[in-house]
Amino acid sequence: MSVKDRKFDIIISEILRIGVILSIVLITLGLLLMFSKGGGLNLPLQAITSSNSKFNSSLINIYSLTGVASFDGVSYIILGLLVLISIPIVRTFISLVHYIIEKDVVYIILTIIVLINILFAIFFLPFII
Amino acid sequence: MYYIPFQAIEELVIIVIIGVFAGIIGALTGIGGGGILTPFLVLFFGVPIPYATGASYIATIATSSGAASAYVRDRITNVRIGTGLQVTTTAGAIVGSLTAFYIYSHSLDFLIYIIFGIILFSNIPSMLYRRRYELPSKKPADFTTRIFKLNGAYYDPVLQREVNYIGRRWWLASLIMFFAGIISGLLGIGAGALKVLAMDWAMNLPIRVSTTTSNFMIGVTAAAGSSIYWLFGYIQPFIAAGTAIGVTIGSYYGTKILMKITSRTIRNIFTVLLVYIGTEMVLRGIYRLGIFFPLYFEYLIPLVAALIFVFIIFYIIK
Repeated sequence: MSVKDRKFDIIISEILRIGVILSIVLITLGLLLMFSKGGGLNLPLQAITSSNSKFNSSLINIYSLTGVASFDGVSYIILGLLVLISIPIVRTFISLVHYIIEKDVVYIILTIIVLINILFAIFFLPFII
Repeated sequence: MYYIPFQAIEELVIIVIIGVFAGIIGALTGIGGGGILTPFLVLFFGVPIPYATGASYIATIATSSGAASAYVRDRITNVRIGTGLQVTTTAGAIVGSLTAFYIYSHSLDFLIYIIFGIILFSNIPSMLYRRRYELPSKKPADFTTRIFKLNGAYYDPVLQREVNYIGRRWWLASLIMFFAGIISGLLGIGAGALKVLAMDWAMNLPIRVSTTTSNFMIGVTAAAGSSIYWLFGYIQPFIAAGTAIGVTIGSYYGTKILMKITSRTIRNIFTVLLVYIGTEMVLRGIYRLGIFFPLYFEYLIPLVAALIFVFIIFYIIK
């Protein structure tokens, strides 16, 4: 285990920590806003919190985030969830940078394949299955 | 007139509490924690199965990122091995998603569940056998050890010394990871248990390294499936929010616990989970085959099986 490995372990660890805290803060803030305002995104609280709620991610798109400016609770929850989901992908990019700096050819190739797989699964897969 | 939405708050608190439990187990054993979360949501809250699946997906990501920060800093997770094995896991997940239509339209999914369950069961004896060793017995390195740099070291908090280890049979682990990926893509479950077995059994890594590296990996597999889950409407913001908060808190405590318990205890907990998930998968396979029984059997019978197993490993075959 080289000194560089150690340094990048700490960088990855910090990114994970900051990302998770940011995400949880956003989600908690969103819940508080949603409860205090009695709903969000023009929906009453009951329509969002009921377990059989028809409101789910298929109805959420990029415009659902515009509520962040007007302190809409649901928008903050969605933003928090998106941050959470993006953490593992960001982390993989950091690993790629690490291996490029170390000129570790085998792991540069492996990490690039992983990233291609992830991006393919995110941007193409849902539309061809 | 504003009234306090007690019912929603109560539901949120309970989801958070279940999430904490799932997060602790996930951080200790390297499985996503969905297997623990789903029964509670479905049986006690009447949450529809797609939303429960979405919640366990969120739990997987939260437990992965929440615990990995501590494990990577303490060098218990082997980032290099985890990243390298992602190649076949993510490829498998894509193949699984692409073949899902064929599998479901030919009603073959029961077979996948049953095979998965049997694989988990078949690993119980070797898990029990290796309980007696704190660290895996030394095995010779092979050509993959050198090419893929499968060596590592971590400070073992229980043995109180630096542990050096080497991994081997990268190809075999990759093959198992590919299969784990297919299962993730097909069935929408994390298959974290298989990832742990790939590193523990095939690569001969210390169990602490295997569970934490699996934990590190499941986040990436889940992230690859994010747009499918998102577009298909599996993620219900309220349930997902409570799950994310609970699981993150739980995974934080899980990392503290892992530093205090022996490898033997980790293996015990993991083996009990193999019994639980294995039974659940076989039952689900039988159900999909067309032999119907009440839904709660699918969770109750595994629970009973797991409890009997706990009794067996603590009192009969110590």
